Amino acid sequence: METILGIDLGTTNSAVSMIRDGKAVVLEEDGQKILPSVVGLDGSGKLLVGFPASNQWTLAPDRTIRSVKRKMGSGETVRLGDQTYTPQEISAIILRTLKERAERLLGQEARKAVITVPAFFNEQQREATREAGELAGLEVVRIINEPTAASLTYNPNPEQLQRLLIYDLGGGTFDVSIVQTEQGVVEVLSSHGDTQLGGDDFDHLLMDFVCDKFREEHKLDLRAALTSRSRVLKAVEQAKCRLSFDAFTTLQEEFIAEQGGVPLHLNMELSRMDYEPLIEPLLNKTLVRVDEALSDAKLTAKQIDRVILVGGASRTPMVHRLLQEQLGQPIHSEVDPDLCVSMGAAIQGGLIAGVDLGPVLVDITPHTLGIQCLSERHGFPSHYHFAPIIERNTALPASRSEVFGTCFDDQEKVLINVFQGEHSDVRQNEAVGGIELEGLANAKRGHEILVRFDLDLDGILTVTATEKMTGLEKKLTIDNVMSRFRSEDREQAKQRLEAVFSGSDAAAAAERQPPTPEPDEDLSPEIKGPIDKARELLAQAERLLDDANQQDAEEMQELIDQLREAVNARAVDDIQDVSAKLDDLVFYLQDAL
Amino acid sequence: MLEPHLVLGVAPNADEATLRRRYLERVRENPPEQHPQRFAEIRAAYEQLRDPTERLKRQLFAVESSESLDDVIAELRLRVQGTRIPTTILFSLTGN
Repeated sequence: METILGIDLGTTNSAVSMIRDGKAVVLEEDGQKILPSVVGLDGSGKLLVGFPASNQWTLAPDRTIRSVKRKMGSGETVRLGDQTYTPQEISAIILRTLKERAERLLGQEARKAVITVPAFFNEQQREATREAGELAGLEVVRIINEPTAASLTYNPNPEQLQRLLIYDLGGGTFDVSIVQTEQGVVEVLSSHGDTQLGGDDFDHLLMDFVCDKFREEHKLDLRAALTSRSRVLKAVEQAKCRLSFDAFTTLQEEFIAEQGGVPLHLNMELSRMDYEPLIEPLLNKTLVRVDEALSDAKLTAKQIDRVILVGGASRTPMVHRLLQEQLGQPIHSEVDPDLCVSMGAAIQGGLIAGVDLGPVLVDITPHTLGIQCLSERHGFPSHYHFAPIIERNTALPASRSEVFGTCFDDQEKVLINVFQGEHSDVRQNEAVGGIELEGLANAKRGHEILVRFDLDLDGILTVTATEKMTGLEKKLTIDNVMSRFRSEDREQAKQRLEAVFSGSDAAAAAERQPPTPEPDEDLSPEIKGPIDKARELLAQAERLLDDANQQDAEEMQELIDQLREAVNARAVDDIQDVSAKLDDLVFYLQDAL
Repeated sequence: MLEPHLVLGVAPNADEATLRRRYLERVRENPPEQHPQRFAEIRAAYEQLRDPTERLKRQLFAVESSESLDDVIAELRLRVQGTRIPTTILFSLTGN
């Protein structure tokens, strides 16, 4: 039987598992089960993935990308060296690394995979994940929710009905799901979450705390320069993990900055007492979600039999304490919180392949899906009323239909706009896509249109609108509409990744990597002055790139490239000319941002 | 479409425990992964049968129902009693 890989594509760490002898095993290489979700280019333009990329981050933050999952489905892009990538492409590099790991260990090709996403990911984010898988050369047989995957690693055949609460706090996202297990059937009852809340946010809060304290003392902001900022961030991240075990820890970073020619060191003691108040508001937000999940499942805390922790950030002692207080019972984390998601994905892969592994899974959609329609809101007619069709927490696959009426006599067409969310005003929800049903028969208003939603196991939605009287029909599958790439773009992206990956493609590498400047020793002072200034300006401009809007960023990138070329050619006139232009733009942008 | 109790293969007046047991059996036979269509039907039937209002409507208007209205009301009363929230939980909800 063909192996289906189970892949946890995490914000901070990723992992790959497969079924071996009826059990899920995490695949490890060089003693490492985890692959940090970090992608970078080394000094010579060679691709780095995982630990090597993570290690170079503090030295070369401009050539290293972390936490790209938080940008999935947003339409934002990221810069790596001199090139711009979509979050899907960076995720594809991570997925491909895991795929190759599995193939080395299997000794054969691995084409299929189940990839996990936070339960609260919306349609766009799921679609972006699927796309990343395809770019990596994987057939994504299923996108599965992370807490659901985690629940599959626990015994599916308890002696009596068992209700689990799964609290999944990862690097970038938070989910809580309530799962009921009985006689081999694992049913998800409800899911809630926050796709922008995780351990990364804890790091940033701690970094701000440390930098503010440092500034009070030295009148210097460590966040201002990219390298010192990333060093502090890495240091606080490690300190955060130490604080899970110790009540106190020390931050020590030598030569972190310079002030008037004097080097400055960061040397600070941190305690849990400093840290916990910083993250408490965020943890309280997660507790609200826990309550919502319980109320959606129509359960009280007492009816939960086990609380299971998933995700690296769930190791925080404060999480245990708050949950224990809130739910009034001990907390479990028997299966490694970093690995159980990928193991669950492998189990799901086995279930799809038809291997009998025990559980049968019934999952739900965590978001309500519906359409925009005309209705009365607060006594006034509004065009923005949200009419739910598939309510949240509905078991998948699901098909539901509703009848809507036209607004005017002889209306020729209806526009069906699909939204996802819980608000009664569509403007507060997420737009998913839309179709127009044209050429309606002449009829009085209230002419009936049937709207049918089919949501499959992947959460992919098909919308069908039918004119009841004539049978006129139009269909739309959301995963086509939301696709970020048209097929030819996808082909191009695939080739580009291929080039990045093989590393042998010298042309692509050369394009990515600016030519190395020659040593400066033999330069005459007339040339050295402008060149030094130009380099300073270049560094300044690059720091602004991320925050600038697309048009400004493109303009700036062009000037940066020109200036680099001029510097390398030692063409003083050009250097001064381009520098002046770039200086103006930098000045303007600094003002604007 | 088939009557929901026929989809699950239970008697029209089956109690909740029987419904649940039969539903789990049918789901195990028809996992969503292998038989999405059949699973969806089973699930829809189960949801209809376990919804007390739906149940009541069906019993009141079921043509073949041999039950008298009194039986239906008696059952409903029992069900409402069963779903009442115990006072201990109410107290626990008010905190401390």
